[in-house]
Amino acid sequence: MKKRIEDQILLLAYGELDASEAEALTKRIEADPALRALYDEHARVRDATRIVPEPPAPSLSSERLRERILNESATKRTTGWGWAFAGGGVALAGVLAILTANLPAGSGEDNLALQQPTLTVALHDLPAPHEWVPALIDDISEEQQPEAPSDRPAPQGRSNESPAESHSDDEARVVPETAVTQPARDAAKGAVGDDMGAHEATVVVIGANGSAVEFEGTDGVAFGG
Amino acid sequence: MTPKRKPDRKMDAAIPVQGSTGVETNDDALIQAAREGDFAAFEVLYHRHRLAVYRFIYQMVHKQDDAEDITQEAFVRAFHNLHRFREQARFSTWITRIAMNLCTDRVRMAQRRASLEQKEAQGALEWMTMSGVSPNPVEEMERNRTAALVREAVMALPAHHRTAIILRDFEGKEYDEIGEVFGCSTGGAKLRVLRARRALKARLAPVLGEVETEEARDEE
Repeated sequence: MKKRIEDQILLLAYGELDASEAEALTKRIEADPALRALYDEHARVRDATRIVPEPPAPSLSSERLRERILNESATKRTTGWGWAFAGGGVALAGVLAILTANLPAGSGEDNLALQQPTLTVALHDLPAPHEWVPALIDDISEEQQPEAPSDRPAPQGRSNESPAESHSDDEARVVPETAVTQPARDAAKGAVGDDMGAHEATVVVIGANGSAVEFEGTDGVAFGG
Repeated sequence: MTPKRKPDRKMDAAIPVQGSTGVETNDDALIQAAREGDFAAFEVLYHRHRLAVYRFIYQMVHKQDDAEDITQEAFVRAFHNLHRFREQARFSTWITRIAMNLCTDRVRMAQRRASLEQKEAQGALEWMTMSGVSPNPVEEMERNRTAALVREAVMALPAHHRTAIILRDFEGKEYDEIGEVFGCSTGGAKLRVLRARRALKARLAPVLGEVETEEARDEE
């Protein structure tokens, strides 16, 4: 009941009460100091809200609005393409990730083959090692290791190995290009040039002792130096 | 879907406040034209409603730059969302509603960021701009002080109370229009304004009482 009167007093203060109700309430307020005080409080707040100054004059030009609308439209278009590119990038990365994950887990040679297809083909198409590896070893032995007649160079880090021997082993791993026999060159060239249709390729031939020779060639030009 | 825009020739054309026939075009016709890509029609709407929207926003944020910025933003949003406008509504209430949401977001962000610094800066600015040219400087100062108290009290209200006070007591909107802005009935709007006034009185009456007591003491 009290709240209802308070609300009616508020409405009266703001001039929003029906005429008949307003008249009745005004009489009550005149007779009751507490109600009068409440009415005065509302009236004071009402008056205070009416003296709030006018806002300063704005500068709102149509040109600015037009520019903003055009800019936002342009930004939206750019953002749209940006998202498209980003989406494409993510999709591409996903495809690559799937392809990488599906790579067969095989021997080291297989993995190397996947990274360097040129090398793989060349090795597989080379003649049997016994046809050309002994020649390699002979050449190495003659040119660089006259005092080390063993078939295989000793692995590094052995306990009975002298520093000089170790040095010789290191050198032995560098195979002179001339040590590779012509069948190997031809096989490598054929493998790269014919099977893969490559115009330029690098072929690395790894000998049985771990030594390697690199061939660079172009379609129609002989491999090797 | 953004309304299709016609070539720049139309956008660069002089902006008529009335239709080309000289008869004032109503908002619905302008909205329809703007939906069909007539930017000049939208500019007429902008000219017609921008000041009312700006006034409302200014009372909400109390910063001219922000008020101008939000006004522009409200119209930009309105332009991009013209297809969502329902014919039953009034453009003025629709744009006010957009402005209200923008103001609420802006005020909330500002409060979160640095309420204390903002108050201090505002206080300093008020102090510096207090002394205007007036035939009665003392009276003018009192008015400014009261206005500052009202502003402070209104700004301290929750957003829905603040909006109700501004729409009804500062801008003098009718209850049915306030109902449209709030998305409620006219009766609901009356109730919202009543509650907002109660909340404002609870904040403002004690402060105004203190001011009156001080003034009475000064007179003695």
